[in-house]
Amino acid sequence: MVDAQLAQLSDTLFWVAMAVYAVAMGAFFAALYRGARIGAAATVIAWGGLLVHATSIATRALSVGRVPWGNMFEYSNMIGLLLVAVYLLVLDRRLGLRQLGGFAMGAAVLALAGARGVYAPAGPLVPALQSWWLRVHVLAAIVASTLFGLSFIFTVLSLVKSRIERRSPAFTGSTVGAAYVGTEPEAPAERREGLPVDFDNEEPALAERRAMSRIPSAARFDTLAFRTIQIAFPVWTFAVIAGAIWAHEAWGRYWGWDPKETFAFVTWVIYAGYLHARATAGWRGTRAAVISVAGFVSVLFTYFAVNLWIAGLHSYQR
Amino acid sequence: MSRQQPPPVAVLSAAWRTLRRMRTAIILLLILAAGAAVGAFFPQRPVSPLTANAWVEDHRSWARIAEFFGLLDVYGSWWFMAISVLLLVSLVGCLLPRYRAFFRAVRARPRAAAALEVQPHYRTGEMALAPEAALHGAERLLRDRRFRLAREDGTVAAEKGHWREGGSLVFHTALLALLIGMAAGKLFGHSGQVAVIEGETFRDTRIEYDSLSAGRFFPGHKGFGVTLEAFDVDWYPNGVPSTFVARTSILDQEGTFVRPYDVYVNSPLTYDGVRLYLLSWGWAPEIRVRQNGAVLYDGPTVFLSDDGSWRGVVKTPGAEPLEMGLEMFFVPDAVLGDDGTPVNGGPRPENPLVVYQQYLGDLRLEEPQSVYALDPRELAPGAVGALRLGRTEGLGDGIEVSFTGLKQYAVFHVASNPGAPVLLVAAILLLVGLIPALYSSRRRVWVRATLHGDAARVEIAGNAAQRKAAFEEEFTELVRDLDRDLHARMSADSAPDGRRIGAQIGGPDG
Repeated sequence: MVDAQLAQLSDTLFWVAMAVYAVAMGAFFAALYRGARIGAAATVIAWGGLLVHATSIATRALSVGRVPWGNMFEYSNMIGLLLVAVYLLVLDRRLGLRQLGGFAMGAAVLALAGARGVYAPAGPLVPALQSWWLRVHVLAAIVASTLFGLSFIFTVLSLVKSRIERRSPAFTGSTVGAAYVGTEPEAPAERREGLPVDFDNEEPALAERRAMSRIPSAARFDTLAFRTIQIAFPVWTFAVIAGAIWAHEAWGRYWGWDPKETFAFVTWVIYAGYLHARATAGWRGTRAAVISVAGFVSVLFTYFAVNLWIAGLHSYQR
Repeated sequence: MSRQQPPPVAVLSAAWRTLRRMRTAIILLLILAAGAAVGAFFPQRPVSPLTANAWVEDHRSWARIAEFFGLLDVYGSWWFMAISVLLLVSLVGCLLPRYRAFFRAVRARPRAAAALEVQPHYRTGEMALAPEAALHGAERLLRDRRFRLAREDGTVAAEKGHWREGGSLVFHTALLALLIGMAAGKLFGHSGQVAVIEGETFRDTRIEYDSLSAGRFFPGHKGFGVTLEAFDVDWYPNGVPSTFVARTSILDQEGTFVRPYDVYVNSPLTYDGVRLYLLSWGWAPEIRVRQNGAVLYDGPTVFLSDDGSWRGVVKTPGAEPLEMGLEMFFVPDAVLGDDGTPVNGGPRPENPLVVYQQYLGDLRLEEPQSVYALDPRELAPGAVGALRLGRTEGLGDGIEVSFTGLKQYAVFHVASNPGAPVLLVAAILLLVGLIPALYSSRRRVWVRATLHGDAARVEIAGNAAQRKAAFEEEFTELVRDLDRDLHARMSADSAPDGRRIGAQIGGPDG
């Protein structure tokens, strides 16, 4: 049933990928202080890591002869892969936001470490999980979780940047919300705000400020967070619907308010609140950002707490 | 105006205005999320009554407060209902005027703007063309890009992106439909559970369900039958089950065979609007009890799974001189451990063994009790023993117990949900509406051409309500295409010295 050699190879490659991501993360952060050439090198390293990671997941899929998202380990592992892939393909290549590499790699390393914490050896699925709807449902949940994770990073960075911008002498008002008085927020179509020349021998505080100045504006992050949630929300909606259809097929009820379903619903409602807040005067900016953070806390809760903690309380396992 | 209203009306209309505010809707959504989350931290009575009762036992002092606030049944509690109803009212209150406005906007012709140069995007240029030809070219271009058009006093007004509002309306209406579907399922549907032993037939009638809950307007059982011909389990080498299948025959109301059907975990049987789901399974050893040759009990007996072991009970009130009960354990693959006691070697029935404990006394069958447990109050333990398949043992008083055969049973969840198709359609509409609601944007474009000497002065202006960065690109493309088209036309008209629109930038942009 299980090809042990392939499974072993997959596990080895997993560790390699995680180490490579960690190196890439360090290089990306160094590039914020030291400049473009290190950033380019970090990108190459990250691509290498992605390749190794994809191979690790592919070999695990081959070793068990099914899709590689059947348990918590594989779920987190997939999220790590998607984080890096979205960063490299969309953020770096399309939007020219290479500066965010350190954060994206850091998130991926966290996802992989989290995956390792709930490691499960390669194995087949129990009958209840052998369903086409399950594959679709879980994949949609993985994609949406990844995007919600990215939106969380953007939101936090927008809040941090907004504080820095407010402290800077040239401040004329927070750029969060300021850009959209009466209209919808929209980043200026600035592209490739890349990494300029190298700076050596700087005062640490100055270097710090320069590093932060290389990171896009709070308004830009705010828009990025909004866009990401706009994409993630329908995917999450679909995941919940597919889950309900699966429950209807497998258990004869589409909704039962078990903790997993409850928190999937809570997450959905919070992000629905966020989308409404973005369309409401007085709620854009910081308030919306807080709702977005709450949404991601709920995503984490849906995933980790319900599986690991509440499951123990409620005799509910998945 | 509120001054003229009597106070209750004023309060109501103020409440109605507040409810229709987006701010209120956001706050209600967040409260709903927080309220729903509470339910995940307390055992919910409708989901797991046993856990909920155990929680009440463990938290005596807290339990009363928890019960008062409905924490053990959050989703049926008064406050959860109240939030939901408020949201619902708010939703309907927002939707109705939006519907009216939407249909008015869709029917209306795109409106001309008085001043083009104040629009966020504006370009102007001169061309050696008749204004009419320039406007005609602009119309064709905008129509190709699927703008809706209207011409008025030398200006083409175009707009696009009604699907944003339309999609939003579809999405929110689908939410209402979802609620209707849920209510329909609750009111007109039913659900229940039944354990069926191999070879036996379940009839869809009220008395044959082990547990049943039917909606207030449930139209009644269909009365068809399902015979469990065989139950098969496949195993992975490591002892984990790989597939369960219940091989059944469907019988119609008269008991005539209709067709066979294999029920898998993810593939329920559907007949006459009723669905039968495979929920779980278990062992049903065939036990026979005789006393002095007279059969007191004979048949397959359902053993329930209890943390890896299987427990079952046989009650023989006909035993003399005392009533007798047998409490039994079933071990599918019994290997003798080091101390001589049977140990379960695996889940497959390689060496089936029934271990029994006899009880004698009064079974107290005059009181309602579970068929899966003995009421121990007036029973005293008797003989203990173990039976291999096909064996018989004597228990004294001429009583003999035999393990004559081994069957399996399947537990089916049987349910009808007339709301399910509504739910499915609503769910699809939810997604269909969401996409344009989130990604489409409302934008307007105006093109004006006026005679300026012997040339046409062409102005083009644009405004987007959302997604301004994307519109900036679209507008730039529009200007470029218009420029190209009009120049093509101009050279066809062989007119000299046309100046390009894009080259001469006037007014604010971006």
